Amino acid sequence: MLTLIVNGTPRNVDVAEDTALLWVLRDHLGLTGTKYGCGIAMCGACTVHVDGLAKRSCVTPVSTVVGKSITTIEGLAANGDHPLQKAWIAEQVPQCGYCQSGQIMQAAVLLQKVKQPTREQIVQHMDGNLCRCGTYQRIVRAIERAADEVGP
Amino acid sequence: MSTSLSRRSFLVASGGLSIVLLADGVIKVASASEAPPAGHALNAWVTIGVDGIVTIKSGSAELGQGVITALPLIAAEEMDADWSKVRVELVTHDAKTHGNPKIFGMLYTAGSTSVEAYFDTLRRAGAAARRVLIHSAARHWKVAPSRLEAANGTVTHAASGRKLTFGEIAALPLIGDVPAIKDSDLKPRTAYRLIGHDVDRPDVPAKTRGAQTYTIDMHVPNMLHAAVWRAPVEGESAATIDDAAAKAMKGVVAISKLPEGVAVLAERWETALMARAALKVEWTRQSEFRSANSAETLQADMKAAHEVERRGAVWHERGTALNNIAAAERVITGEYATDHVYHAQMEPLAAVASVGPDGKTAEVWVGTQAPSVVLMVATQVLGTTPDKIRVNLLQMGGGFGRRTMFTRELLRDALLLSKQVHRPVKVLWTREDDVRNGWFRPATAQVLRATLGGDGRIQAWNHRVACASVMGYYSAENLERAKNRDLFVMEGSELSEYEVPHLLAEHVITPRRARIAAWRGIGAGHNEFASECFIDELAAAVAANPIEFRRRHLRHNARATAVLDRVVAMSSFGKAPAGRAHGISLAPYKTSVAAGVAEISVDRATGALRVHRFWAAVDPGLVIQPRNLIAQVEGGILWGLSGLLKERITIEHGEVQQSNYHDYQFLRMSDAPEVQVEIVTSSAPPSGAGELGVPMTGGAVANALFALTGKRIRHMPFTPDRVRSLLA
Amino acid sequence: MPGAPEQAAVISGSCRGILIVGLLGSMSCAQSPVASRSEAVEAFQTVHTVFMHPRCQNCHIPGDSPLQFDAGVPHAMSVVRGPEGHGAEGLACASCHGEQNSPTHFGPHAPPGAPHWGLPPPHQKMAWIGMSPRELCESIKNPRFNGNRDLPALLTHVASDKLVLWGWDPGGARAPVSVPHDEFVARFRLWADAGGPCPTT
Repeated sequence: MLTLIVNGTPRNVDVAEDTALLWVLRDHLGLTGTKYGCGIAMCGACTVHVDGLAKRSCVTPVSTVVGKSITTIEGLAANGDHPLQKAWIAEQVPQCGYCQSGQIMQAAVLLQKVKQPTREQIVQHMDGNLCRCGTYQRIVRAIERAADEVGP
Repeated sequence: MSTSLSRRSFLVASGGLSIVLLADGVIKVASASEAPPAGHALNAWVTIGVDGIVTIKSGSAELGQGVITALPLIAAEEMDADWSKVRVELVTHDAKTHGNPKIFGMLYTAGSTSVEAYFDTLRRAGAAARRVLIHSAARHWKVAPSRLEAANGTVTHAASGRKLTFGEIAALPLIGDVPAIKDSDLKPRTAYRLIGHDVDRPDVPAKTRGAQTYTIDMHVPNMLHAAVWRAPVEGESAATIDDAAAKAMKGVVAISKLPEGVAVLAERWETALMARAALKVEWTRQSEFRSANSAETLQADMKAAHEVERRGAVWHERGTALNNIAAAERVITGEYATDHVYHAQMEPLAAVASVGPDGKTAEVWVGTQAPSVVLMVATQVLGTTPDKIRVNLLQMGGGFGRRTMFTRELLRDALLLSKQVHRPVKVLWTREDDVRNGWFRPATAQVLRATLGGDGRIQAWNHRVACASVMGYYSAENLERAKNRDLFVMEGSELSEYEVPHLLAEHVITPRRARIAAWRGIGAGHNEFASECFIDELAAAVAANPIEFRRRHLRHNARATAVLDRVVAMSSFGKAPAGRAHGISLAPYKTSVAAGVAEISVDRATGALRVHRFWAAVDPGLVIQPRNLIAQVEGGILWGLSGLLKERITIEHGEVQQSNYHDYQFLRMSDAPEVQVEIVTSSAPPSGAGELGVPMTGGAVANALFALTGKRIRHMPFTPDRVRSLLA
Repeated sequence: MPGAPEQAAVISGSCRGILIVGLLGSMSCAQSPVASRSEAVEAFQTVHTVFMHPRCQNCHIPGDSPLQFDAGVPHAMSVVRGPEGHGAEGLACASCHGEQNSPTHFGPHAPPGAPHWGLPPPHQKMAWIGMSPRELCESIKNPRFNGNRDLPALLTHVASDKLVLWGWDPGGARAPVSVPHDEFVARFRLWADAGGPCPTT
């Protein structure tokens, strides 16, 4: 039995130590907002925060995050009203929506580290997150909107 | 059918009403659950609850294109409904009533057809619903219906100031027999309050919170997870299975042989994956596909495309192109090719099935573009009837053509397994499974031939596309019924915008050597790459400017001229910064008109081609939701650019050589150009936009490369190695 | 060091013999002072071979964008060196690369991992792609280039740094460094003990 701190709450899970955090979150804890896209950290759909850093949960053995603070899209903001989430709605970013949890989680770390990112910094930080519908342009705009709203 | 008291009381008791529109336009009130009367094709689309909630049925499914916004909005417009109270209900069964008239009447979302296919029906259904409400309110107030107005979900009697909401009217005794809706009863475009005005998509908030449920997210009580190891080559199956190690793993419930593979069923997904990796399977190794090699197939198809005496299946013909070409002194020939490409929809394929104890009933959960195919598969697998299959249609993490026929394999397996273990089963394909078992856009070999008149205009045009038939793979019967006219392969080869008197577009159908499917843009994606490059070649042959040369053939085509002019202006065509160049493509998709300009540069040392900017002007007729339509076109452009810059599937010894996003890369944010899309307004009826951005990309980029280097790239994708050798 | 060449000649003669029969002998070799210059220079060829392997040079790059895979193609995802060599502020190497290689059941293409995964820091990039043996030799001995290390410190680095060691156990289907690690260390030691003489080309 491992104890994880997920979205601020300790959760006990009975899983093998080398199980990917992704499946623990999705199948064992029912937090399906974190998505499986490739399983090899090439698409970013599974991005969560571990101690405030972006982490691809699909290649993170669960044993390596015991005791660390894990945040998923469900826990990003209490009412789903993180400035990025509001900006995502304002810019009507999602199409199929499948990659967007990972996009938002990645963008949240970016804004945590770089308050007013340039367009180049946005691309650099978001380039590990694939979107097949082609919403990149809107993602950039939404991040800029959220950065503006939060301020420096 | 009459509005009997018993029905009325049923409707009131059930807390709502349904508006029924007969084929002849006559409106009736009924319950949605009632069987249609014999001899009438019924259209039941709108339900109003006493709580004022208006539910509009959609025959199309949501895969990110925004159809659950656009379709109900069309009905809500004519109904004058309060948009905040409009809900959508996806139809799963009744294709006869709700099927897509553009796709064999099936419940099938594809080909950018949804708005075009359902627009007229939905606006009439909305108008009919409004009329029932107005007449019912009029009787209640004992005034003439003509004295009443409806707006935003409320009916008003201006003279007395009385108002009733739609929900309040739904609780009244209802008028069933009202006059039929005539064309003149429908709103003129100038009166639209919803159509053409952006509303927020209802699915967006959940998608920012991780709260949208896709098939992969489904968890049904007592459900098992199945990982399927499929034969590496089509047509093979497991000859021997050594499952000792897998069976010994804790949590493994069963190992089961399937028609094309072996499934591991486990209590947990991670166990299923690990146990699958522990299997040892020998495959039959006797499939005819084991010799398939995509490069060789393309070579053979190219040979067939050049054998001009070998007539193909006629897709489109006008005039006497072949005679004209045979008699011409000078025939210009161009050769183009495209490789296989994979959908790479972000959500891998999944299906959940729960088969009842009798083995004849089932509930399934699946995100699909083709509910009709789901029913077909489920009834065939279980030997049962559609009424025994309950279908839960989920939103899709991308479709793009991948989620049409896949249930033939995936849902079938889920049903077989659930039936065997008497528990619900989720079959999930890993990304590797999805790539290796992908159904790809066919690789095409294309030969174009043309003659030019003394006036510098195209006289005759022959477009030959050699590849296997997608439609024939889907259904041999459908291909036969369509007289070998395969739109998945041939769409877009009509040269529909241009005034070319003699034209023959033909499909040289060659043997299928890969699993093939529709891919966003279908035939227009590969065909208009070839035809728009060839147009540029012809322009060069008569030393004409590519824009001016196109205009020569658009003298009576105002819509095409308008998008061409607009995109030329948007892009300041031909005035690219130093080291860059522009290329144009006039590329319609079915009846939507569009033109695009790419601004590119190339690194001659590496062959890396970069698209810096892309402009598009589109005229899709009446636009239901402008912002979403632009988003769709933007997405289509990035899709097309991704395919032509980066994507390629190869097959050797019958095995797909790629397996995941490390060796099947697609466009990332850093690869994406700045895209600007403008809508050119016209009075044309609505058509499609989901794929409209795709066909313009190939020609625009290849023509830009020609403008920059004088070299013509003919084989998609334009990978660095191909560009480098072209420029060497 | 007076008399050293003669002494070295004797020792290096026995040392070479030990290297041929087995690398365990390299320890005894190391305890001895120095090899000849020519032997040290020859040993450096092995060091050069190792340093030019994709497992090493994919991250010892001149710009700020690492390479990846055996083919040494640009690392996807616009990955950058970042302020400390551990990636961009908000997209660290550790977002994908853990402290050790991914478990086998994550598949052959899951990202590799090792402690302090990253690139050399921006002020000392330690880039050696395309360098000749002489250039490489001069570079890696230069304290301004090599993280302010003297030869013993360099030896320790190549002998025991966990990220260096990863090159011989890269996981998945990746090619390990072509020269065995103990042979590489022995050759490095021989070269270092001889004072790190550089080849002429």
